Amino acid sequence: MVKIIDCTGNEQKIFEVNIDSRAKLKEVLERLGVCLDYKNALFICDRKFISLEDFVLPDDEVRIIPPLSGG
Amino acid sequence: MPFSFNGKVLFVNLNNLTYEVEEISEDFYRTYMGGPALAGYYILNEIKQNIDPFSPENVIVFAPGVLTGVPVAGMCRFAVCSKSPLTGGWGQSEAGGWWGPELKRAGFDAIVIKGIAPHPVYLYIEDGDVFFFDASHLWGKGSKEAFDLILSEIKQKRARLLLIGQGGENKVRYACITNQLRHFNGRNGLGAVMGSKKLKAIAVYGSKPLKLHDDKAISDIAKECGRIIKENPLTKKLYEFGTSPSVMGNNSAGILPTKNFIYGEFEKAYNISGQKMNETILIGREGCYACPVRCKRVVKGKRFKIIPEFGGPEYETLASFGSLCMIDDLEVVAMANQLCNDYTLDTISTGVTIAFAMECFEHGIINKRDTDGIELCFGNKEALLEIIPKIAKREGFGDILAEGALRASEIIGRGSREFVLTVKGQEIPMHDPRGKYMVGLGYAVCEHGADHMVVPHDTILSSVEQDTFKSVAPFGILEPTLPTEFNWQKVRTFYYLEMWWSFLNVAGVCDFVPAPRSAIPVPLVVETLKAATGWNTSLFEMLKAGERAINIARVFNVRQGFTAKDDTLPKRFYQGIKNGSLEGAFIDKDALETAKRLYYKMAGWDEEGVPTPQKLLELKLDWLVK
Repeated sequence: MVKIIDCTGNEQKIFEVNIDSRAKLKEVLERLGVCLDYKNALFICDRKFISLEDFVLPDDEVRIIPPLSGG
Repeated sequence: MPFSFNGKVLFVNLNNLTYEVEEISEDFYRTYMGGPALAGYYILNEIKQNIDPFSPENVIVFAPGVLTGVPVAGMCRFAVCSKSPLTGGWGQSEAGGWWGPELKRAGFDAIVIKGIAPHPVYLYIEDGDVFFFDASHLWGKGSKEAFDLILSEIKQKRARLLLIGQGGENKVRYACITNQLRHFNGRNGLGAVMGSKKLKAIAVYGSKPLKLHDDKAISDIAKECGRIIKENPLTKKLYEFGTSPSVMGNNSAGILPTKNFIYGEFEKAYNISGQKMNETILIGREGCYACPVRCKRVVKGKRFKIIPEFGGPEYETLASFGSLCMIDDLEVVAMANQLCNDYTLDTISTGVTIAFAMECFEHGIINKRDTDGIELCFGNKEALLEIIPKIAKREGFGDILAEGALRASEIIGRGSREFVLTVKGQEIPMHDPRGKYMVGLGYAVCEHGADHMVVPHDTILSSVEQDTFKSVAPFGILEPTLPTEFNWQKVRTFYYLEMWWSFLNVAGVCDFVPAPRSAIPVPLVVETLKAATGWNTSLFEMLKAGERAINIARVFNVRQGFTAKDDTLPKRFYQGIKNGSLEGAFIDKDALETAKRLYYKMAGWDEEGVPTPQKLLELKLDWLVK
């Protein structure tokens, strides 16, 4: 089970996706049917930024972060 | 006939209250294009090495850019440059609002000021005429009171005012300059330079519209920009929340500066967030000249008398007085913001300097005997509001903090240097570089000290899917990098986009309108410059103008004794963040050093970060080659 914590909105949303073995983050989000919604976002897993092409493992927790710049 | 500029620079000598007007050629103006590049030309020609920033020999320049005043979104900004009393090096700070466009309508492309007035004065410029007014009765007054009095004295309600409060008068080393009470040349202590010159304010009024090459094309571009801004999610968010969404966004990423950058996550972040502001103290939104984005907040308090004219706190202020000082009370933060705006203190440097003192207090390095009885501990709201006026007035312990965190630590000693978060003496803005390496490189190498606005942030350039990343294709940037990657691609991206953002400063354009930070495509900015000036120009020429400004500032610093050793970060960033999503993240000092050396080489600089003669010639800066 991969836990997805969406921090892009006013309130956090939490999703859980079942995977048996490692899977690309992009595929995990596609299973939720939301990948395009996150095309501008950032992803943090295991205290590191990762990309949509990176693999996640069962039991991983992925945070989806809004892409904020300076100002 | 020049289009989009006047071909005139005003020179003011405060020693004897005289002025001269110099006419400048189109080729000269096209080379420098305004802002820090034009200011740099005059400053490097006027200032001798190692002068005191508060001496009569220091020069302060107010310079809009070539696009300032063009009636298109975001074209409102101007730069103030001088030798910085905070860093001892190149001083530069930009502001939006209305003053820059008005100066151009009044007939000038820049004002160059030297000397010290025999008594406090303010300048009034109206349609090319220049008047000196005695400001003795305004000295000691805050920006709001002085603003109202000057407007009534000059009897021109449509004049735009730039001025300082007591922070500038008392030469607080991070005093800022305000225009229209809610727009700020915030950084580098340039308000203190005005104070040292006994210059309280500059009021401007112009009745003549700026002459443009192709009014119809500009009108079409303005409409197109308006359409894009109305539809784009980035600009829509800027309208709805201003810059405040960064509070919750950075908190969720674990890089919200908390407790003097010890932590990256603030448990009570929501209480100082944009959402909370919208639900509580927000009463309106405002913008700058010709800009429909309207990212400025207008707030009102219940517990404090918060005056809407001062504007509301932006992200930098929410974090510097909020999470950085562990204060979770939005009204207190808004009140601290108002105090700084009235006294004219930079909210970033003020917050970071106070957080430094709070950490010293926590470690017992200072105590209530040192702080005039103030319990200056993290989270103490009353202490925050009590210490700000003391800084502005240089009273008691405030006199030490008025020197900035680095100098304050030298006075305090006892190991306090550990808690100083500055680069070249300027306090770090509210973006933790441990989660944004390109921002870290920018902090390190920037000529005017730590500045978060020298380059777009890593977070919007991290994947090929991002619309913001796609928008940098005109620069030939085709490879994204994750925020915490240091590789040659990142350094190359930094080098190119630093030139772009420098151009925006030179031209007087707000970063919140063009790509990649915002919505307007890069080619449309190129078209705007063509239509405004009639020049057969290109992105290449624009980037070179940006690069020219960077190199002028770099040469200035070299002449003041700065070396590659000054291009570094405070020790805390080489240590791990202590909580949050990126807990343990740190910057590898060797990796930063490698990136810095690569950047020097890409920029055409030597091992010490000094522009080579060849580079200066390439940039048409032959007059800087010894």
